[in-house]
Amino acid sequence: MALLEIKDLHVALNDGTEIVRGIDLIVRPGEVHAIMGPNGSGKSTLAYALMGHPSYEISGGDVLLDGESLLPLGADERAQKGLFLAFQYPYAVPGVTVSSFLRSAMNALRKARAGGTDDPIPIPEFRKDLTAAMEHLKVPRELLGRYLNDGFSGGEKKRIEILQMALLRPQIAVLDETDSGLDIDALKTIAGGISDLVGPEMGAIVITHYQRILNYIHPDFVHVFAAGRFVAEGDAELAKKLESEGYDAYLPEGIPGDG
Amino acid sequence: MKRAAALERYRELPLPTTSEESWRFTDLTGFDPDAYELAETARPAEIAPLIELELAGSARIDEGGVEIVKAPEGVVFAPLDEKDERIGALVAAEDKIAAANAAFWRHGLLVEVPAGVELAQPLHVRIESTVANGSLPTRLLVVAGENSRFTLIEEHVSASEDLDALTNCTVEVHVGAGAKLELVSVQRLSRRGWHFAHQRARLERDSELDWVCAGLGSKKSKTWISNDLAGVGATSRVTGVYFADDSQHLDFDTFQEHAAPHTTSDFLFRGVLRDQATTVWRGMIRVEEEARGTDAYQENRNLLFSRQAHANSIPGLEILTNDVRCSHGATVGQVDREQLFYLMSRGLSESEAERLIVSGFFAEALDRIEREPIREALARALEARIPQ
Amino acid sequence: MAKPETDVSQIGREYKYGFHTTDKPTFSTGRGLTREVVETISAQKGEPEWMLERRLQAYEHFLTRPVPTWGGDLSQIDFDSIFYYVKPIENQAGSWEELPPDIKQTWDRLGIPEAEKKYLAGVGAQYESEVVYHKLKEELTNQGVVFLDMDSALREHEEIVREHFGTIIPFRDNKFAALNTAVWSGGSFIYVPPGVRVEMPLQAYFRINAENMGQFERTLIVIDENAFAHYVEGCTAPIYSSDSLHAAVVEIIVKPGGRCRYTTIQNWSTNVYNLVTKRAIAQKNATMEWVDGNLGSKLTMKYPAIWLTGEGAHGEVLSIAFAGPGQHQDTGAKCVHLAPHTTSVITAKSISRGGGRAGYRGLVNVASGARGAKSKVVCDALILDEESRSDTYPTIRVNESDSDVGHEATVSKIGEEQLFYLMSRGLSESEASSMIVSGFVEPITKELPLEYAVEMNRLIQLQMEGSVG
Repeated sequence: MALLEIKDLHVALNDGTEIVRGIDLIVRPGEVHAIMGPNGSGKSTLAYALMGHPSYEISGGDVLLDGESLLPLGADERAQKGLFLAFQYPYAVPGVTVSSFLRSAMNALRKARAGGTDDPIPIPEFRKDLTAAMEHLKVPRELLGRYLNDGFSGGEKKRIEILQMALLRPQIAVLDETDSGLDIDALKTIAGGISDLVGPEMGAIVITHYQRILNYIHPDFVHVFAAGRFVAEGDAELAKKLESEGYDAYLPEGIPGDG
Repeated sequence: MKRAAALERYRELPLPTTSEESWRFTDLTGFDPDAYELAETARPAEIAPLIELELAGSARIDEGGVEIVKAPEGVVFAPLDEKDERIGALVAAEDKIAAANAAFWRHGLLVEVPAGVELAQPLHVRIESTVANGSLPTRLLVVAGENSRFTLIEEHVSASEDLDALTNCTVEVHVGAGAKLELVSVQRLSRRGWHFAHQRARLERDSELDWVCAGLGSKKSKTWISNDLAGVGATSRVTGVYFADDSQHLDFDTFQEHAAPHTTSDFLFRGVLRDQATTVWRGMIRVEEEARGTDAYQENRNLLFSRQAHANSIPGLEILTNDVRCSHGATVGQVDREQLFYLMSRGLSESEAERLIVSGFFAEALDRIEREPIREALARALEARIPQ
Repeated sequence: MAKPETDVSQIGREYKYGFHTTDKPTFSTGRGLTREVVETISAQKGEPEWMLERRLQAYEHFLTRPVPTWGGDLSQIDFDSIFYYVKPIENQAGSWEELPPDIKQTWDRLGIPEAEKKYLAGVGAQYESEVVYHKLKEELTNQGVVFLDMDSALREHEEIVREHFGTIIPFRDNKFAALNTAVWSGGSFIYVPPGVRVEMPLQAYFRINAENMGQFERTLIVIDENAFAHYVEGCTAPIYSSDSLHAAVVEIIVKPGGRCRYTTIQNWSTNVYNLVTKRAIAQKNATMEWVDGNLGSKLTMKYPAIWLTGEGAHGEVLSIAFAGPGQHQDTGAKCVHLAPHTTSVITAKSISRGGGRAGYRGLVNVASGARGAKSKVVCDALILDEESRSDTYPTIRVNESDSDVGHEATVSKIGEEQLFYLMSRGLSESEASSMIVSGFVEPITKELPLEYAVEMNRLIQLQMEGSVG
């Protein structure tokens, strides 16, 4: 039973500028936490910092998964422990096909789970899992043979992110602006895919600017994030209120938000 | 290097041959530098200005000496004293051409802008070759003090369109920390003469050099343009345009030396060739081990209007560290016949259509020039090369 | 395949071909090169007089040519300590079993007999100076395909050899072409008759076993009209503390409508100087393709060339170079457009790490009259650490305005964002790096026969291990 605990977390850029200024959050399996906030509030910084991006420094606090601090771990080890980040802007890796990448990533996690000995997924099993997940998420087969995110449309990239999540089966998923750049049909499919994965096996943090995606992924908790802190917390109703009233009420003076 | 030593060096060095890498495509066969005489007196003529500008200072150099036409205030703008210790600091008398200059130069100009001084209007120096069969070796020493800002236009011209002469100019440029220098070098000599120019700039911390280099004249020429990015955060941008026709041979040899971290260089050269013209563009980006965070770019594009024209493009990269972003591109292609046809089908004559294509081809380079009068003057000079 | 003993510490990476055997050659000219050595080689082979004359002319020319000072550092080659001709066995074998056990074991370890069974149309195996094993599938022999070692070809097809030998690469071309012409031994001769397509690759495998060995094979390939063949060569050598020299010459003629693909997987040990001259002529509507993979050697200087002499001819060069510790890969390509509507594409990828130096040196030349010629060159380099170096020296000469020539190059390191993205999916830094590197060279490895692509990726992984962290 996985439990993510974020304790008084502070995150700074390498030049010392503090972007996340003390947040606390507990995510349990089956829970969906929405983190909403205006552009530039530091939401993506939080996502990157949780995953261990080298451009950000943890200037205070801790992040624990099942009681163990993630901070000393590299991104690969965090992934092996069951953390997943769906990137807002996934990177392209020319020359590496989606399918060979997926298999490598699955094998890396299997190896970690097997205590460091190789435990490659049998090809038929891989194919079966892959086909099922792709059908579910309506990922066109031709994407498998293309280079990872290379020349993909925004929607294709997002689908591939969620496909990775479905196959890697994380315990905690952080979804960074997964709704941006999607049309309504794509949004429904992807949000449906995410909702299906949330359960006893997985908790999720959905980072978003708009309430739209929360129509399809029901959040148990909504946290309003502005200027590096949670400034309000509530349930799904709060998200709806934000949608109609904007963020202005939650912004400390002098900090612009574009509502 | 003192004159005597330079002279000795000049005498012992043979004329470069095409077996030397940097001369591979520029053949000096038939060139006898000693056949051109060092003239004492000039035969000045009226030469129409290329660029009409309000100037902060202007000077003329010819065989007879240096004339300061207008002295700017608060700036050293004076004949170069041969005892100046900084002479030769950037361009040593290493090859025959540089040695000839170091041994024989008589007239030069020192431009020294003190720290913090900003000049709103450009400085201008025109080097005029006026004596037939004459040799005119000259030198410029440019020193931009810390945080100074100014523009210097350097122009090479001939007294008549058919003057056969030899010009050899060495330009050394020191760009002090935080300084911003705009340098415009225009070579529009007679198409009968030989021309050589060694031009090298050294950039200190956080300085910026914006260098425009136009090659229009000479029968055969070789111009070296080197930038030493010696201080952290230095940035250089060199924009070259050239047009060669008839049997002209123009050679540009550029060097981007990144010796300090976080330095940026961006060289863009575009050239048009007609008739039996030949051009050589050689570029090298070298990134030293300590130059982490380098961002370097070089590009050379050539547009050919004739089947007899020859363009040689030799870009190069030598990268000794990994934290870099370096790239280059080079193309040689003919004028697009479809494009030409399309324009002509709208009623333009062939030469009008060609002129339009040429102006479009150069626009991307010329657009990098901030001062409109300079940009327009160069655009006009380039377009004028397409016959009516 | 059994894992042979390797001396990893010596080269900083695993090199599984570094073993050697202590078999006794049947004949050797000893160290050093003299006129007598050249005469002895020719006499040993019982060659026609014209070949001996050619050798001696080339030998004289070799003596007068200075060692090149451009490219890599050749000053340490000790021409007097090299063995120029070593004959390992008396007679060429027609089956692997006929070989002496030591030599057979070498080939077994390299997996050549196994590969022959599975996917090759023919195999030649050169050990030191001589081709010790040679075989071509019978159905190809019946179709008139000739695949022989060069010495046998000179005996059995003297007229064809004499017609073409040295016409594409004259011995005056460069110092090492002169050396090869003087002391050549072994190599392949291929003739594919008009219209015949050899679908499975023909493979030659070059093995140096002795210390200070000089290997000078000579290859001549003639692809007749509308014919096709794919020739693959592999090379390995033991690790010694002193240097060996490999100076081959490869001449290829592709006649109208023909196509030749020549694939090299060069994996010499890091004490081998690899100085090879390769040039092909592509006639009307012919296609020549060089796929050139350079992973091994101390210094490689090799620029496969294509002379597009016939209208509509097409040339393609795919080049990968990987320079690890102590290695210098000075590789590249040349395409010379001599006829109208000829096209060429050069794709070069290099990777340097651990202080290695990899470079691209190339030439695209469009001659006057080659109207409508098109050429595209793309060079990309990855530098994996601060100690390593990458050079790009392309030359473009265009003497025909009705043509389009473009060159692009980039040099970069592995992107941190890319690395982070892959690591966020659970891959270790070294796994993620080697995945990026494999992806980087994928446009070229995908052109290799499957077995070689797998091998290439495995070699890259080995090169990458220990390169990060």
